[in-house]
Amino acid sequence: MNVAFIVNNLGNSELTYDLIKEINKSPDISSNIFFQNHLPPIIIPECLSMNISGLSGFKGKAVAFDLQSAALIDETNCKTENILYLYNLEWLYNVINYKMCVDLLNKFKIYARSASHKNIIQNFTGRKDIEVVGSMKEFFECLN
Amino acid sequence: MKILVDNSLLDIATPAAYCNFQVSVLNRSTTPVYDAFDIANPDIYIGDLNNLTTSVLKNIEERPALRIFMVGSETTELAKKLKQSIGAFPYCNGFDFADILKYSKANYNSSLATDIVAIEEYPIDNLEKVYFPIDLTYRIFSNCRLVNHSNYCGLLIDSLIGSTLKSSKCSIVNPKNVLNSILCDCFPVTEPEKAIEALNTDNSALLKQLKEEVLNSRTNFHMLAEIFNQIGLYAEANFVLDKLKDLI
Repeated sequence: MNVAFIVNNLGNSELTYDLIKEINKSPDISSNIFFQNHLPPIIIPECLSMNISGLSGFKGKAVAFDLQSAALIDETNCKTENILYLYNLEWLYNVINYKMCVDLLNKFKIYARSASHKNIIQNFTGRKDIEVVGSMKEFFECLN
Repeated sequence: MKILVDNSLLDIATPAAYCNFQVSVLNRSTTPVYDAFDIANPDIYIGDLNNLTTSVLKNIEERPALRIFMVGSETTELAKKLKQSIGAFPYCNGFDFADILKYSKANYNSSLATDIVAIEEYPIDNLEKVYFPIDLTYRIFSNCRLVNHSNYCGLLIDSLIGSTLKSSKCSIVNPKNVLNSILCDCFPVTEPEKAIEALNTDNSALLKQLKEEVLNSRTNFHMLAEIFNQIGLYAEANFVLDKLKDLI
């Protein structure tokens, strides 16, 4: 199974650490990492890791972890099954355009990190199909 | 008829433009005051006393034929100077009206539907402190600040405010927006704590009655007609009210 993970960079963060660790432990998933900014990775990923421009010809599942990456997947118009694992609820900390954000979220299957995140996302989008996955390990199980 | 309106009073400029008057907006951040007056060469100036400057004062003094109507407190220094130089002028302290052009044609939109919605065009007191049961859809939008609340949803563009109110059962609003909410058939409360009570009460009859009152006397067209009446333009005032009837 082809899965593309779209991240801002592979530098030091909880997200990239969890992600690369799980990718390296999951040989049955054909993982690809596409990053927007090049930074030395926190762990060396044992999979393809390249600039976001490579996403244009990709087929399979495309996973974003934030709104910016989700927007990139949406704009690329590639034939992918779009998944958004929302690590942070960005609208609580930044001024964002509600309508644009909801329209974007509605194009993705959404996973939340906790029940409280799920409630907030449900209230924000009005959608009832949000799933909760507590860890990156559980998320990879959902991808299988 | 050429009208110059302060940019803080755009709600009055829109019905004037709708009635085919030649309307210009005095925006100090983009156009020098002298240029604005020279280009518009207005017959009527509708100004904000809180934004009165010496250059506006000079321009008014230089045009003895100019009819003016001022909004705001007349106790400021410049307001007193204006009174000294041109004598008593028609003014009002402030006004409360519904923007019928912006809100009367709002449509229901299921994706914007909520049980309670708070739309901050002006800050609302205690918004951060009040939480509602989780089974209620409660969204907070603010165009003026970040609200520290888990139901905060960001910024709502102007063109969607009407539809959001129309699609919601109850709204928490600043007192300045109460009439707009009524126009959109959304029951307004000004204190967040009272939203649940309003939601659990059947307010449809009251809302219908209030909406009729707003349409009959509290729209920005009525305000413009009142301004025309106060500066002695009775035919124009009637024309504005006729236009409102066509609109409704």
